[in-house]
Amino acid sequence: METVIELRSVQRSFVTEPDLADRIASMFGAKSSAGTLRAVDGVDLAIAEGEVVGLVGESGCGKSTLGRIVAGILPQDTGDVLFKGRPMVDKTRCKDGSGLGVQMIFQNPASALDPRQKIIDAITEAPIAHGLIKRSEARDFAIRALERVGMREDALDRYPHQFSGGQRQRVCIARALAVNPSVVVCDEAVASLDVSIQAQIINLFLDLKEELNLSYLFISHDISIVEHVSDRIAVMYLGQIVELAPTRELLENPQHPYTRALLAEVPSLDARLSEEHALTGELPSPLNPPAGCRFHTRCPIATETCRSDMPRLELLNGGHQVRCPVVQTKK
Amino acid sequence: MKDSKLLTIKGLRVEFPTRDGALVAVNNVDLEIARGEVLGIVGESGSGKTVLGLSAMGLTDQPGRITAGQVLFDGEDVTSYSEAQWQGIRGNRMAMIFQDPTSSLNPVQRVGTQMIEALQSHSDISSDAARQIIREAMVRVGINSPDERLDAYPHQFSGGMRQRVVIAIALLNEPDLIIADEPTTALDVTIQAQILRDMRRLSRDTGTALIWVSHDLGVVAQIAHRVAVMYAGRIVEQGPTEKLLKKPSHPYTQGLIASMPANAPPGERLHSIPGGLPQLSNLPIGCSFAPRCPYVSAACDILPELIPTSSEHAVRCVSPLHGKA
Repeated sequence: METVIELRSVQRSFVTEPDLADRIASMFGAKSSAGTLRAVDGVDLAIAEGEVVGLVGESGCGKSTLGRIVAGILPQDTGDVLFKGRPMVDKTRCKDGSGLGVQMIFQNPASALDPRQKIIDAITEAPIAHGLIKRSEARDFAIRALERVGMREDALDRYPHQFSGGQRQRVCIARALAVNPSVVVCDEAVASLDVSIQAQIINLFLDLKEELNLSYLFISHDISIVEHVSDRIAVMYLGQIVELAPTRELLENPQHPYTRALLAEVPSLDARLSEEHALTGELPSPLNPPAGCRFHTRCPIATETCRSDMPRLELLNGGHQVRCPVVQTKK
Repeated sequence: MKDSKLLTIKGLRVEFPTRDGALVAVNNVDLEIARGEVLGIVGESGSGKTVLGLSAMGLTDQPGRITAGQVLFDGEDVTSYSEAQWQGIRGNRMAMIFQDPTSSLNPVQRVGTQMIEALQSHSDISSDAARQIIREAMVRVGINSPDERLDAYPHQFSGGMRQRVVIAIALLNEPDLIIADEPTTALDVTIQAQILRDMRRLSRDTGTALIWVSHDLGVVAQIAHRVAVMYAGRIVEQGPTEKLLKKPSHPYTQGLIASMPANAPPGERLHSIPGGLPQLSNLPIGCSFAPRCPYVSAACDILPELIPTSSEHAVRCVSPLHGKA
């Protein structure tokens, strides 16, 4: 299978500017809270044609930033993002349509749609602007686009507020697909939906993938959803991928102590959570990440070297990559 | 005379007037909870679970109001309590934990000050004694080195820590009942697991009864002894957690469980309940779930009652499933 998206040591930082209160405080000798937040720190990832890669991690781990970089709506600082072998354009600057191949679907469909734009215009605005369809074809095009996501023609002339959350997300999907992308980045795309509606939208994602041979980067904090849709799963912690493996392999044979803890904490209907915490403490501040292995402050198997040396993401067998020297040496 | 049940809700109906007519958010709900019991209330958005929890604490949002039914707390009818009477028991004998800890705490007041206020508004206690109790409360919910944290402001805490502060405040006056409305929904799964464990232990140790409102069946399965499932303002099924989740009797409960991605083979289509929630101002005359139900029949045109199938379990369905798959 051909690779559609490839990330090579992608890095992205955000600099927090000191605000007025900070500046005044620092005049009196206080330590400034401003700093550099490395949201994505050296990520390598390739997504093949028709493949679904799931991305999981706690809030603040950088998964949304990574999704935005892949979608081309946030430029990386260093590293390369390649779409079908060519560098991804920065969509915020380059508006000639060369970046249409990757589209994004957001968590909250209510804020992703313009409240004063009719559904027909939301769907056809981009394809018309980029010359993919003629204005005279807009109506027929929009009807087909809506049918593809399980909605009817009567939605065309209505406004976003006239729909439920699930239907609005369907409109967002129709809009993203209107420019024939090959990759769709779904950032918590079903998190705001109720369980019964969530299942409908997940089914839609699966159907569309088959029908259009789409690739997804499927970002979610909910491991059971990611597990259901993904071919491979990447686990992120403080800006880095700590483990990446085919779904079944990752779930049945998790190697990184963080992945193990994360999987142990998912509440299920069948098993009661053990009385012992699988993971103590909270995500350290990304403004001031620990030296050495980022996870060593919470890790049950950390050694002296983990406190000083940053481990690399090493390939085990069967396409299983893990960033932990302790489990690597055990193998 | 004191009731053996801590909280009894009888025929509760909460309505919100709207332009399209009265919207019935809570519709003829009966519930009981005993001391030390953990009751899960499960439902999707708009099912009335939050309004039910708020109404049980005299916090029905304006312009909503209780139009029928009773809330009995420790044998006493609190439905017509005045605001002053509510102040006496709220935060004292019953406490509430909301989904978003940021909006539950005052952003411009130190955490310690807010906790002392919660104590002193219900008893004449010196600030020093209050501080001691607060320190213990913080440690109890897993906040170590409480002295440093008491002088901090809410924004200096992480989301998980903030929710722990809220839980610590709720526990301060050793309430008989805590109503927690989606208390872990905004938190990461690792923090959620920690809080679930803490609450499970606290309710066991202190004998506090707990009503845990959530849309997440997996979370409720972790903590509740009993579960009530709500749909469109009504309880459609209630029973012991394990039986209800393993052998659901109501088609809606069954549909919810089957919709969970964890319960389907990876990559396969998920079971989904077709359609969406009915409008609460315009409910079907019969069973509210009938338009989405795979087992619907002519008998569903008449609203079924919540009928006990055993001493512990009840279901609102004319042809309950009894665990058929």
